[in-house]
Amino acid sequence: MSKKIILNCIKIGVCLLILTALLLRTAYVVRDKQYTSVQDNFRQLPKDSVDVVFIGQSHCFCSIDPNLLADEYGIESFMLATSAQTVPMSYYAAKEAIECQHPKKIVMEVAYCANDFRTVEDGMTHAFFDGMPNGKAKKEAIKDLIDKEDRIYYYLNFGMYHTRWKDLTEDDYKSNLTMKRGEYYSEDVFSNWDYPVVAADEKKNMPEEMERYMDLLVELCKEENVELILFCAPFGIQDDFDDRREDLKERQRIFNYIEDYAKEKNVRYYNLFNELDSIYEYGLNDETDWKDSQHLNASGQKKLTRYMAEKGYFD
Amino acid sequence: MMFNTLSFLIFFPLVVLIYFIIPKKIRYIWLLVASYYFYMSWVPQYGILLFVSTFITYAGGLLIDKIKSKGGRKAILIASLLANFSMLFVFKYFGFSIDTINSVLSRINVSVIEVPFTIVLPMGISFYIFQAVGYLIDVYREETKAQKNFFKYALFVSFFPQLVAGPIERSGNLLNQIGNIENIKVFNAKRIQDGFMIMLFGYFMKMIISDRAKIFVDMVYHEGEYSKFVGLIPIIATILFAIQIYCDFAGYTYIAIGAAKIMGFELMNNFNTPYLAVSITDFWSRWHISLTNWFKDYLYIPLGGNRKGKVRKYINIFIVFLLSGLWHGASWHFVAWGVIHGVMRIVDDLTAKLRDKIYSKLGFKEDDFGLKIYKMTVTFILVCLAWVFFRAQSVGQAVSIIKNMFKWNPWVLTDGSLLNVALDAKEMNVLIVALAILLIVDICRYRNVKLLELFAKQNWIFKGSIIIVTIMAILLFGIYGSNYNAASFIYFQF
Repeated sequence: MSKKIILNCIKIGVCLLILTALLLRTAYVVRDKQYTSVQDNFRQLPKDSVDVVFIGQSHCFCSIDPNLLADEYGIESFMLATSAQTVPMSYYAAKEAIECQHPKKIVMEVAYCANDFRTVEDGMTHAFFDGMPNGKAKKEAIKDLIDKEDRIYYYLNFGMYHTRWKDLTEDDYKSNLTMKRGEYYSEDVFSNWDYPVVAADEKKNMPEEMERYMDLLVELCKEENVELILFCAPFGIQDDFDDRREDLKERQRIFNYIEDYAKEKNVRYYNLFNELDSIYEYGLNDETDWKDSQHLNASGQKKLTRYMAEKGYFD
Repeated sequence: MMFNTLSFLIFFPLVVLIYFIIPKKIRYIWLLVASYYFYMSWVPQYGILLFVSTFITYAGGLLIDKIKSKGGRKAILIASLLANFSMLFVFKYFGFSIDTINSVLSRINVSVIEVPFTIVLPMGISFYIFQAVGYLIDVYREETKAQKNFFKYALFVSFFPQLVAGPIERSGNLLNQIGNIENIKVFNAKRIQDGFMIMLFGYFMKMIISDRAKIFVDMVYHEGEYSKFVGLIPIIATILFAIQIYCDFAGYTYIAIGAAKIMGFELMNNFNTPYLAVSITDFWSRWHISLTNWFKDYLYIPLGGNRKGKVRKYINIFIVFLLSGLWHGASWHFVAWGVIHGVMRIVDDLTAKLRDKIYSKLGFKEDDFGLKIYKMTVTFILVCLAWVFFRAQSVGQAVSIIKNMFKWNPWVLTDGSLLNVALDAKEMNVLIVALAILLIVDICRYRNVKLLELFAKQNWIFKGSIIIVTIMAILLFGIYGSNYNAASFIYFQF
């Protein structure tokens, strides 16, 4: 090979290196850290420093405050729940949790057991996958849940986030992330909360595919010697439309069914819809403690976290 | 497969790499396979259509070459042309014809004709059929020899960089190069660098400018929304459409030219700074040059061109533009666009001397800078007015949009309304900066500054920096990603 060709190859190599470095850094800067930094933080924790990992969707991170659990009850936990995390996604979140930390307990909020979704809209699914480390769990999850032609976009996700160039703030350039335990707090107040409650013996099977993933999750936790705890956080309806009321009733029937399912699998399950009176007694206030019809705000979150901790649900 | 997809960014380097490695003798076979794969990745069945058109024109070319009698040659030419244009008619104009007949019949209360199937327009059918037909006519006129190697000819018709949106190549150029493919020097650093830079510029035009302008245009021209926008908003949307279609089509062409160049093929230039044209005639010598030349050589001149008197000349011009409108789409608003350009082209020709007289009476010199700017502005306004008919979904919508333009509301520029339409201030800023870069490049090209030569002379650090910055800018500011509808290159539909 002539000297000139070698020199040209070196020049191209240098340019490619600079381009790759720039791309990697830019990809980090533009990434939506509101979601992905949760998993980033999780990975940065010292090995085996987390006792409890929470999985599930927004109802979970709006209901539980992991900082309060650590400060007041000495429970070292981490919130791996993400927006619209479906049951299959939760199964892979549990896999990731075990891969990175091997916690003693995994606590799952089960509201999405009533939804027959493997994944949800693009943005939410990306938020979940893009935060996952490029490990075995991520590979398996992408292979299982994402259509073949879309998989590449989950490995090369720059295309998803590049439009954030116009929303970048100083925090986006920082490498040190601020959320310690994946916590989420909202100060919004929604005072028109309403809900129907069906009788505890009204039951309906959860969708077959979701039950299959729940089985996988139960099996995984047993194999890995991790205790699985299920709970269902209460949520309401925004408007008094009969169809929404009916929809919530249908969901509650599924949450009641999970009671039987959990018993059969020898898993602890707390259906908080059936404990609403006690929770109100404990201080939950419909006028001040909801962020919207579906989610608790920071005040409600603290009350529910204390209620569950004092009842020993995470012991 | 679109040029601005991840699939193409994997496909192209792979094709080039293998093309560089394999023996010279089978290179054209490899490119043919790659081209059919490229085309069939949309709708595999339409590969058959491409093959049929290729086979008919290939066989037609050989027969014309072989037969000595003029009548026989003509008969074969006509039969081959009929077969090709019939395919074009069925796949592109059948639905339009039935709709037109139905609308006439419904006016006289006759029940409409029902078609029990729908035809999906095959990507780029107008381009490759015109290219194949052009070859056949060249063989008939003995301007080119019939290609005996079927696979080389098939590659000429299906060459993937220019298959679906041109440039519509001529046998004298591309077929000759394919014929001599064994002699193309495979690895040439300067050629690859040039090709890569041309491709990058194409991506810059398409992804940063065209697709960004499209967001604004689509909002203002939306069928249910357009009546809401008046005054400066539809005017700005129309100017942005002029920019969108230029950057879309020229962007595609640059990617095609660059990709072909990397592999050692020189495609013809399809755009030469069209919005710096000083008249409609000048515009058509700069816009979609390959189609203009095709119509000139295979329609205008056979119709008699300017050899049969002024009236006949103008009729010929009108026919060319009418068909050019129809070529762009099976819809009356495309026909209207063609007719408008035909009329403007004729008026331009008729008034050229009078205008020159007026300018000289006013004391303007021919090379007067101000006069040139004035002419460019007037031409651009006329072209934009015609674009309204091209972009609108119907002639009625186009007329309404033009009417809405005459409402006075300059305050939209300052009260924030403009930025509430579809593009916020940050997006607008990116668009303006990108347009400034495009304008500088176009002015350089207009003044015959050889930018690629200039670039090649720079040291590697400068060149590397420019390439890295351009790639980063496209990746960061380009419109693409999972929410992007790859519907994309406007000219694919033709």
